[in-house]
Amino acid sequence: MTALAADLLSTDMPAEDGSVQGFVEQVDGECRLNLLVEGAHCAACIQAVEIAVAAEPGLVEARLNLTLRRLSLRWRGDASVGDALAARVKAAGYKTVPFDPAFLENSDQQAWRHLLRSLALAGFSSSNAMMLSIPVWVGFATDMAEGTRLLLQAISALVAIPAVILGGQVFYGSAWAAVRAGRTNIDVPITLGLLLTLGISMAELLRGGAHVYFDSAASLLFVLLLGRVLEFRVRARARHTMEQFLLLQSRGATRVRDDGALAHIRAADVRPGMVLLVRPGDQVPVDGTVLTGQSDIDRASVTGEPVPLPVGPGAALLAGMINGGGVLHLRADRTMADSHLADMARLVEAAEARRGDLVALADRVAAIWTPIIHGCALVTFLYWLLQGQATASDALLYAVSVLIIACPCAIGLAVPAVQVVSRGALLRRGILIRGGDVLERLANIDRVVLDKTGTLTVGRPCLVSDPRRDPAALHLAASIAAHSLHPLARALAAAVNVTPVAGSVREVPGAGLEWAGPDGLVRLGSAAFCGVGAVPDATSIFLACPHLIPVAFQFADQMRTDAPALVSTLKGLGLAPSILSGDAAGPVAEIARTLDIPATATVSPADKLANLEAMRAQGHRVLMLGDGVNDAPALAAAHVSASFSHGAPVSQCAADIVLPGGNLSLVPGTLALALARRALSLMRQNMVLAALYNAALIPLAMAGQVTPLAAAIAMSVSSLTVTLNALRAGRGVAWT
Amino acid sequence: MDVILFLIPIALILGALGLVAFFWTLENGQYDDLDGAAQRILNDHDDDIERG
Repeated sequence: MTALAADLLSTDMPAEDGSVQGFVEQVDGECRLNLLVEGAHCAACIQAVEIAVAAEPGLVEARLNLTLRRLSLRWRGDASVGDALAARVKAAGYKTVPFDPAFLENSDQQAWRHLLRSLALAGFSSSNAMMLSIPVWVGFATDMAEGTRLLLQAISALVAIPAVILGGQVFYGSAWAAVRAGRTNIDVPITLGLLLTLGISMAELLRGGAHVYFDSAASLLFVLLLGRVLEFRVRARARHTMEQFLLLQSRGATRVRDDGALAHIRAADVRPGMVLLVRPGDQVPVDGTVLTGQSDIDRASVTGEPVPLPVGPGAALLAGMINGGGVLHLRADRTMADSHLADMARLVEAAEARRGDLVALADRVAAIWTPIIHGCALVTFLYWLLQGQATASDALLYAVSVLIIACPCAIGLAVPAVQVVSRGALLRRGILIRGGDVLERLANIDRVVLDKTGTLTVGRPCLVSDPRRDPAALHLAASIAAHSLHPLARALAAAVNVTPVAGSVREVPGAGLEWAGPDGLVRLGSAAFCGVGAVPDATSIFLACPHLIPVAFQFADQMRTDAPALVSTLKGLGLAPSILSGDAAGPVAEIARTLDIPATATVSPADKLANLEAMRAQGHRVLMLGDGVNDAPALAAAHVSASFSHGAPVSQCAADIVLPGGNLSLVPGTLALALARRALSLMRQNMVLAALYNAALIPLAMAGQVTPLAAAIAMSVSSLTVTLNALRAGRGVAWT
Repeated sequence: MDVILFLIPIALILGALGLVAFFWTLENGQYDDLDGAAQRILNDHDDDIERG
């Protein structure tokens, strides 16, 4: 069992306080444990945590997923080693919690509110500090009285100091934990910059100096918090994946007791051997075997086969399939934690954890930038101190002004601003982009893998038109079919506009419909039911009227009308589209022939995942498009993935992009891809712009020539340029 | 210049009022599920929205 499965079963049994042993699972002599790691933000954190636990003897694998903030651990030995590992992570400066979805949501919510509260405080104080600073700067030119200037500066200190101290706690806490453990992360330079700016300004104010930087400190904090808020929202995606799985799995089941009484129980409480009642339209709660009853099972989202499967006693069903028109008694064969859906959950989890090694553009730039700036500040301080012309406090002032000028706010805004504008432009078309770096990843794909059922096709059977068929027969069949909820009957009734036939229509589950017409009994249903010789094809039904030859109606899953256009566009872009489907070889080969692309049929979800990982191992960056439960693991493993709003919830959650249902013309291959490529180029432009501003002003700051006015102008002009440039992301893309 | 002794506190108090109002909306849970709110536009069934 995974931690997820363990949680599902142990929701009423909290682990002993302080010990993580209750969350350790043992598989083949190996122990596994998932820990949530709080306070991890950057690549340096990943390394710090992984190195910390790697020192534990017997450890097989340790991997920190930054999106999920979860550490997956595997080791050989006793379960009690879990506590030692958790202690090591704690010693490295991070707080850990054994994974429990309820706790995750709670603590996330608190962190989110804390961030927003800090952001509002910083926004209030930065705008007011700026309002107070402008008269001071004007005052330098118009001979403002010193008393007035000091009053304005003192008020801006009163506004800025509490805000920076309270609002910056996000950064201070994380930086302090890192420093105590002898490491550094991105929050250390931020904390240093904020507190030094505040301290030097306070010292200047007390000695009546002209230059205070309260407005700079407050706006720096505001911009940095803005980046954190954007980053936080991006991370919410992973949480949704798990929540959706839990929702899917927490559906109830109806148990039939030995005395025949019915009881509604949680799906998680189903034990093998229990007898369950599955009503028409219900989802099968756990894997099981049909005891009694006849029905048709919709397995499109589980296996990718669009044609409903007639089932009777002895048939094996998988969790997540949808029951058709009949009532079934099911014997549970496995618990929910061992069922097909739980397998999918594990595959998605594992695939997402393995994909976590993609480093975003901003992080790569920041990793180069930070040491350079701190080097410059140190050189500035030492130069002025050793040169002897400036006092120590002036030397410190100059060094701090380097830190202020080179604040990473323009770099911090360069990427999120483009992301937000691009996401907005896509959202107006109904396209939802989840992760923050999805656009970066989408911009450089070189392969496209398509699911068949529901993606290239409509995903449900449609009547195949046949010119030889008598229209009157179709009309009669459709009006009888209107009485049934069977998928094929619904497809038949939808084919022509009819009113349901009058009189009594009897439904024989697993066989067909019987109508007592004026001329005798009319039957609509399977070949055997209608007295036609055995037809192996389950996609045909027959209409048998008295004294007439039975008429056949064929059904097939129809290709979406815009699928050929999508495929030819993708080919034109050199993205080599291919089909990976769980459906039978026949229908897959047919659609592959029509579209003239390679296809693989009868692929299990695990094989889909393996296929995607093999392509990645070859160095391909794959865009995966799919909408079923069986696609979810592959979607999570792909370089970037897209699902549809009509798709299974788990596939929507595992995908990076959700497209409006049934519209392939908006597929990332065409429209969103153009926008993503544009976004990536704008992000790079922004990085260069931000770097140019800094490169121009840092020498000035090192020479001690930068005043608070220059710092404020540099910060706002560079941030403004970067933001305005980002606004171009939504323009100039042809909305075809 | 005496007027700034009134204007600055008034400006700060008005701003602080806005800040307090924001804190109230925050505690009221209006920002807890922004992604969820964004997702709802993809929902084709209007009746789901009414049920919340």
